[in-house]
Amino acid sequence: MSARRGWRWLVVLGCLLLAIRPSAYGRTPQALKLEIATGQKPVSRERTTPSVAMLVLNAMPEARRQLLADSLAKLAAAVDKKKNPLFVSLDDGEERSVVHELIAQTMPAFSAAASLAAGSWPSREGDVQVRAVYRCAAKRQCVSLDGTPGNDEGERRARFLAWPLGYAVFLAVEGRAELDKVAEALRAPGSFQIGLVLTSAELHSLRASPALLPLQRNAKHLVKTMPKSRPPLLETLANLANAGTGKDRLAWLRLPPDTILVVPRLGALATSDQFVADVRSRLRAVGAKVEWLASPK
Amino acid sequence: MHRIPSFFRTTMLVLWVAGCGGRSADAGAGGALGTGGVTGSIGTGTGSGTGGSNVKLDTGLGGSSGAVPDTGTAGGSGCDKDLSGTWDLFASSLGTGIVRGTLVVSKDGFSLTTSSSQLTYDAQGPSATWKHSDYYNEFPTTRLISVQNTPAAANTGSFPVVIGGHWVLQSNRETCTLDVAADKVTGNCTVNGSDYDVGGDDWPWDVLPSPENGLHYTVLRTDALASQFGDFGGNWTARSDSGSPQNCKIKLESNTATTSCNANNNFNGDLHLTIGTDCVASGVTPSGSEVSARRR
Repeated sequence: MSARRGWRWLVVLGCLLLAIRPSAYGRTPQALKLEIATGQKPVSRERTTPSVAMLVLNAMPEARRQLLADSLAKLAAAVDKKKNPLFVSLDDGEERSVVHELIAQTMPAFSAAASLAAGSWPSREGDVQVRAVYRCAAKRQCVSLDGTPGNDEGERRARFLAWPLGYAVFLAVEGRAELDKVAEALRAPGSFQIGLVLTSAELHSLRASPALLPLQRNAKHLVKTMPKSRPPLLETLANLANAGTGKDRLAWLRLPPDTILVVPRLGALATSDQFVADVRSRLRAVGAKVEWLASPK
Repeated sequence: MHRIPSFFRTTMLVLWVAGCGGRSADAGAGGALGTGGVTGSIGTGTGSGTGGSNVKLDTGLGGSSGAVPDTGTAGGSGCDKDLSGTWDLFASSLGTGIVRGTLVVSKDGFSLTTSSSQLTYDAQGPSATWKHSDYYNEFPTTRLISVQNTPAAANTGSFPVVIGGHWVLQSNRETCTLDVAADKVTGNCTVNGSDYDVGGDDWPWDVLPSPENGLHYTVLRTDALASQFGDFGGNWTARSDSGSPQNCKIKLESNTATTSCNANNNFNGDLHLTIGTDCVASGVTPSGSEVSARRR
């Protein structure tokens, strides 16, 4: 083979590789799918862990992280005041309102993150299990997450059980700067539809930011000082304090680096057309050029 | 013990709003009485549960469906017309992730089951049973609930369970009465002794609301709106006779239910529920809990 002919083959090969590179979610045979298995299996509970808290913190814009840090600081101040032996508490309204605010602030994101991090989604009875895979096992029903959902009942149920992926929007954005800009636009406050917005990198590691340090410091302080009679809140605070540590629970979810995953709120699954419209209008507002890889509508 | 109660409370709240369209909301938590007018108690202690009426519970905790005949499971009709069927259900609560459940609804009643709890209402009895166990599933408890109903016409639209009429719900210590008509719901509970509200260990307080002892609750429809909830479609206001300014505004329109309460309890705030044409329902409760369900 002459050198000139060899170069020609190399160019052709290069073009072929470029055409099939996994540049975007859903473009390759390795695209993410939902695999449905039947047969009784025990059902385990989805737990909130530091990994889940990491997803929640990553899905917050900086201003929201700061708000949470401020709420935790207020709560810490209220708890510390009560610990003072000279302080006589007449009512715990201040503390309760801060706790209520915290719950309202974080619960939808925690729910979405805990469910996403589970990685497999059984029915309550355990007779159907759905898990995310890149290649389905033989003889198992396989649901591609590309495009929009089909009408098959098995697929629709699987998408519901695995709602953080089955009802999600996947976007491909070109360029790192654009990726962060689009993610920030999608995270802007005011949506009753969007639960989590995560870039592919944010699925696996905690995004550093100025508000993170006081936020985690106050969470740690509260874990030490709060009365132990509030176990769910304490567990949440401990997970916030330890976010970013421990095992990567989403190692099974490897998306191309230019991808954004937008998970709806659990309470918005019946309004997925509004969820999609919300995503669309936020993208329009920022003038972003994105490719829709998957959408529930 | 914290997970399942909040799951049930969330779901029952949604069921109640969707089904009845009304509750009052004074300090105690409003007009009690969940869907179909279930209330009451009768703690029968731990174990398999004995006595009581003709409840046909055939599954243990975590069982598949419960007593309610699965007549609507196929889900043949649109959910705007008939909500009968078997539903996969999720509810959220702080720090605990998602709780899974199965809801079976038909004209003969409903059952709501999670891995460690089951609430069943048998409209044929009528009667209700609440089974639950502790966090480690070690101490199952069964409470049988006595229900008497004098039916009256009230079109509930897509909600298949009859709820119109006069209801008396009785337990060892509590008696509740409820009158449900298309444009007015009234309720009252009394407790033996000087308890502040209906509660205690013979009342499923973690599932159903706990109305205040002796108060009379009134929920009035102020105007009618087209809704899949039949006669119950419209704007409602809920108050008690306590003289307190606390109240709830409830709106049932088309495929949505919303409540907005000014109250000193868990109902303070807003609730939204939407039932989609694809038989996926979802919403948010005042406490920030979220719920979603899909008919199989």
